[in-house]
Amino acid sequence: MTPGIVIAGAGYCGVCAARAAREAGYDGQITVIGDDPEWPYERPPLSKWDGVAPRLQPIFAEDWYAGNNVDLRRGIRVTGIDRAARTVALGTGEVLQYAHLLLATGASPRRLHANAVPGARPSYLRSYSDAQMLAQGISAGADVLIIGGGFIGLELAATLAARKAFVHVVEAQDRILARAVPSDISKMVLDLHLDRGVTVHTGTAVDAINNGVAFLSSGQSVRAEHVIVGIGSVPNTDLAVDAGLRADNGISVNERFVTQDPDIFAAGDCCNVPIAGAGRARFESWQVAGDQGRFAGQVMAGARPDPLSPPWFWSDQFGHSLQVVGQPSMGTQTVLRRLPQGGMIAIETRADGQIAYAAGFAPGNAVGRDIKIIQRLMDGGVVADPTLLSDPDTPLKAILKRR
Amino acid sequence: MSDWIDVCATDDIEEEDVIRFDHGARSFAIYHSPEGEFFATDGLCTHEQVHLADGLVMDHIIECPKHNGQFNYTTGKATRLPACDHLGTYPVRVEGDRVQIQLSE
Repeated sequence: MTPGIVIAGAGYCGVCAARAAREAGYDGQITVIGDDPEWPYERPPLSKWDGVAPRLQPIFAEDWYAGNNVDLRRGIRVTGIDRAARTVALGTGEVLQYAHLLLATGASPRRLHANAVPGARPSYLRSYSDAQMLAQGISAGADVLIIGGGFIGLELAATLAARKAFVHVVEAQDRILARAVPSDISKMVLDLHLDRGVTVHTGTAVDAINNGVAFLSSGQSVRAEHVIVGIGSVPNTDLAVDAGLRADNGISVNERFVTQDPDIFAAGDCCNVPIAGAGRARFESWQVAGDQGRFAGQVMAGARPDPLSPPWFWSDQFGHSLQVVGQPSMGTQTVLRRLPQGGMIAIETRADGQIAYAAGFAPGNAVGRDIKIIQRLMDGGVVADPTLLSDPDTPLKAILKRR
Repeated sequence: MSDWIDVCATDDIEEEDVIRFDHGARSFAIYHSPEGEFFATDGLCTHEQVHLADGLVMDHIIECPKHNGQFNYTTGKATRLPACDHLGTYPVRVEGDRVQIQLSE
């Protein structure tokens, strides 16, 4: 058989690449290899349960794969790459030839350093089985300590507090979501958590855990029957590095997601990609993973890739939605747009007046429409008057239409 | 059997915009196109039960407010991931200044 596209990783990035290659007209063999035994599923719902247990939500219907002649291998690892022979070795002992190889290996939860917190036996969240373990182990009335006030930690805090667990969140920085959103938005998210009974300790570390009690650097001690760690993720680069490919906070790729080997691509959470005028970055975002996978799939199919969208992500906490587009701190000026329904959008503009970033937080899905309009203003390089951006009586769509 | 159900006045929906319409246990999204025509689809995105009436209408495309799936609301066709399944569409007519949709039992 003529070698085709082999994709290592069956998360959102990997399967979007397969789909994009097929939709671009690629008629060769496509093989997707994932180590999870489940059909490829969405990870975002794993930290946001609306019922008693996390949902297993398939990315595509199960019959999509066979129906599009995509050979999906579930529960199988890629164990090595032989670049000279253009083959990958699988955990089953099988060896597959490739014409193009996409590494969509994702990321793994960053672990606590050994002995960083003596006595801790924490849980981490990445897979559906991790989420199931949390759901089965933590019942109403349980005392939960979450280390890390980022998205995973806060979404789990909201999920578990809604299930009547007693939740403490410990964050080392002086505010939650410090890496991701401006302080005005952080504050709104914090107030919501406090209002719903979550205790948040910022500027605090956990010194030790002993017999279900956590000793904090503030001198406080809190009950911690369950400890969950959400302190970011580390890219899965071992396959690439073992094959002699460069990695520095992610597998190094060019703007077409090609590694230094022209036949090997990398996309999604595992890769580190150049950003126009802003150095390099690695993203941890569902939308970016899908978009980069889509782009790489089109390139591997020999098609002209559609441009990438600005990075976007969302979070759901206590029935509120947070949406972010662009990259924080690339802007020089911040304007705040208060929403009539409650909630707020912080918009950062650059020196040239174009929007670089926006983050919104509001009940329900009230920020969705405005964030999507802002994304289009960014795509179009529109220079918008900050007074209008902050004026709740000026619809953002009017600014978009006026350009 | 099918009935024409009264939805709203024609000027209750701005051009290139959408509103929510609930009828019995069902929920719909009613659109006013830039050309002045009206359309109706199922209210909830086929990806994850999010109401499209909070979404953004651009030309003939509705974008889900949540995960950015897109549909052509004149045909119901899903046009961008993560939306894969199409939306149901319903006949719409304008009687005087009233917008009505036709629902089959």
